[in-house]
Amino acid sequence: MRTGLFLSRDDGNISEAIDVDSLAGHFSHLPVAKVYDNFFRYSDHRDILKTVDENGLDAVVLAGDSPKYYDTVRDGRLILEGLKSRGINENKIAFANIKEQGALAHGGENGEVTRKAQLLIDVALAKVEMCHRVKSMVVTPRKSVLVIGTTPGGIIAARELLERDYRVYLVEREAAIREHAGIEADILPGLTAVQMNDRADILLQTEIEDISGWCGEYSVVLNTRTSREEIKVGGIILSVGDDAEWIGKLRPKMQLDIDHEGLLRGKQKSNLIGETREPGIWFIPFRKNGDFLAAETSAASVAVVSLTALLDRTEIEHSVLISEVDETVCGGCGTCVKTCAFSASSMNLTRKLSVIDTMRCKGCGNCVVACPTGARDLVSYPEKFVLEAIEIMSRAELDDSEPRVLAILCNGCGYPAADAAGRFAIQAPELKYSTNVLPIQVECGGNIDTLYILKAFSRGFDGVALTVCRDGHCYHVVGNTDMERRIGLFREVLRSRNIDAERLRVINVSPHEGELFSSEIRSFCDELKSMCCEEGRP
Amino acid sequence: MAAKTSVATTWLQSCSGCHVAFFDLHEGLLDVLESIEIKYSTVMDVKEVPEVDIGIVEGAVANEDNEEILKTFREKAKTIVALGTCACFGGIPGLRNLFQRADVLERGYVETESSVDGKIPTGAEIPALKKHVVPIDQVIEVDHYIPGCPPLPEAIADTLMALVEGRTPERKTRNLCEECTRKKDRMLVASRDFVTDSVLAPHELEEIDPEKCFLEQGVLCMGPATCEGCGARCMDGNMPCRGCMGPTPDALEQGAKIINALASILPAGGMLFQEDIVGVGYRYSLPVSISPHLVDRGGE
Repeated sequence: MRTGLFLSRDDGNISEAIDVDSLAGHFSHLPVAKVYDNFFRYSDHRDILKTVDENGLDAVVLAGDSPKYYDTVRDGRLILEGLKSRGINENKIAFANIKEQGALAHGGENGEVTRKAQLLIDVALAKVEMCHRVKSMVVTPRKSVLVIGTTPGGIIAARELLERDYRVYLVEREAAIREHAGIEADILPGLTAVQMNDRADILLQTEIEDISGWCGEYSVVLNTRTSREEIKVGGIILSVGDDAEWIGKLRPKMQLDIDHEGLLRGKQKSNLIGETREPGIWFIPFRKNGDFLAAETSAASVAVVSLTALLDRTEIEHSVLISEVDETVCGGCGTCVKTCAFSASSMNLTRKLSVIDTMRCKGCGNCVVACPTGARDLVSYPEKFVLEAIEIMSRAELDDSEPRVLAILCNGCGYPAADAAGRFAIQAPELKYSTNVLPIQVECGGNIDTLYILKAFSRGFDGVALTVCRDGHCYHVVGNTDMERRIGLFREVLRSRNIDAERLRVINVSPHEGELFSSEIRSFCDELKSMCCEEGRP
Repeated sequence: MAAKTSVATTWLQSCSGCHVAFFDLHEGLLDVLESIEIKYSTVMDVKEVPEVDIGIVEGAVANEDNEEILKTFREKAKTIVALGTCACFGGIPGLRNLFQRADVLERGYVETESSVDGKIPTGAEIPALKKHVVPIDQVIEVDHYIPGCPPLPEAIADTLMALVEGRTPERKTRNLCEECTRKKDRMLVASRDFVTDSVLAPHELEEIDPEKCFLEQGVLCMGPATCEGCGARCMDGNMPCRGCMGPTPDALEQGAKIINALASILPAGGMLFQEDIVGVGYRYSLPVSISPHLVDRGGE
């Protein structure tokens, strides 16, 4: 495999704290180790792709911004699309987050931050090395959309979809179209247009029983009072307003993020407000204040334009980022069937083998952790890679006067919270924390294997911090619950090895709570330090 | 007639139960002896370990004497077979890794109820206890494994006959549910409800259903986290698996894995009080777990 390392100065934000050029020198044994001012500027962006071509790279490590940036922001996604179009597999692109969880997060000694950055790059290199290529699947998108909820935004979205020649199912759980006090007159023309169009079905008193599939190809089971019907749609738009009860019911079926009031929360705050983690599912955010109708109209347009931009394509490619079954190891115990919150696991009784429904599997990794034989593994975060990452981080030479902490960060909450802590620390330096806090990203709280914790302690870490979503917020629905159950039982195992259970800290945090993440991590480090002192260690 | 395959056997830190399992082949032993000749064994009066084709080692490595015998076996035998759970995974003797060596000696020689004025013996002729118990493959290279506490007599015969005939003995990779014939019902329903309301010890059940999965009866069974190969004898005897076959080769360890698995199967609160989680999870395989002994923070 030919791996290239691209390092970003981020126009000085990174290079102020990290000696990026010396890192390039350190990794000069790689086919490419190159430093850029800013990946996302056109000239640098173009040069990265050119370098990939010229050197025949088949794996890339991007050392700079958080992987979250590449997931949520358009210029980040463009780089990934560019790399993929050069034939680099999604699993052969890894990130070393030396910005939000490096340069921005730590003050003080320049050398220490550079050393941590080197470690993060080592881990990213191990990831591209150890993750096998992810398969992809091509779907021809259906030109039909399910609109859930007859709020003004839902009706506007339905009308706009019909104008774009889409088939529309407008579903409402109540017995009548929702009332829109004060703006009935504004909504009526749109509603009439939907009602009159024979390419639209308005289904009242209807619940969504089940959803499976991917962007372009969803199977939805609708349950009306009188019948049960399965429809196929290419995408879904949620327009359920402040109906938190309905959101609560829909959430487990389509992995929606919610805020503290139980209302839908977007993947990002900036440009695409109604975007969810699922590219085929959009929502119309509820706004209490301001011009309600204008907000609904514009949000509906954003959702329709963004969704149809995808569905208008002739084909959509999906990475099959799921949990796999090793048939030579699975004995058919059924644990994965009990664990999966999405009914994606079932048992082939004749062969006594677990079977994965790829259309349902969300790739959360809960079954991987639960599988007692090691027959399961996640395509994107294989267990052996995480264990190797812990091994790499345990071997690093660090400042021994501070406790060494492994922070196992859930992709949904802890990881973005740690990013936020870094970003906030630009304005509030008191949020900076020790460089001896070493992060490892996992897919979900349910993806945290107790093995990782044991491994970290047996390799000399002074403490392990786990982050999980707040109650009821896990977008894999049960990841935080299962993790907490496991940890509850596991503390006894730690005690049996002479490890004070206080050295394991579970931090409940939401993705934007950077201050909380930082203060929890810092107080944990302080407590560990006093524990170490009591044991007569530095 | 071709020369018989020569065999030497020994036991290290163990109970000799695996040798008894060998004799449990009964008349079958005569068939095996047609093909092999036992040249040396702990139960024979032979002083020196001769050069042999196969060396069979029972037991874990717990003291210097064990280590020396083991190394001699590796030198003299072309093929080494680890016999039984102690040799493969450290087994029951390995549980002492949860204590400091000094405390183990103190307990064994001084504090035991049967000791009067006990003293910890010292002297050059007494092999020193190693700090930790380890399976034999952490000291020498091992070619084949026959786990089980004790192993199935047939598994011993099968392995020996395979070696005699130049075949590679089969190594099992799945968990025990593969071999267990008990019926699963709620375990296979994709629902997040626990399979029972409570966790019970087998004797707390009024009647143990001989055909129903133990987990579905609320009894903690180690089968899911245990390697197949024993023929599910305990379940046939209406008792749950205790895990003596050790982890499957891909699972890395049993204790953490059974905890991970049970979290969505049995009510966790009940488990905490009903069972000794550490004892259940690591009874036979502590020395091969991710954290095989006390974590040393600058102590002993």
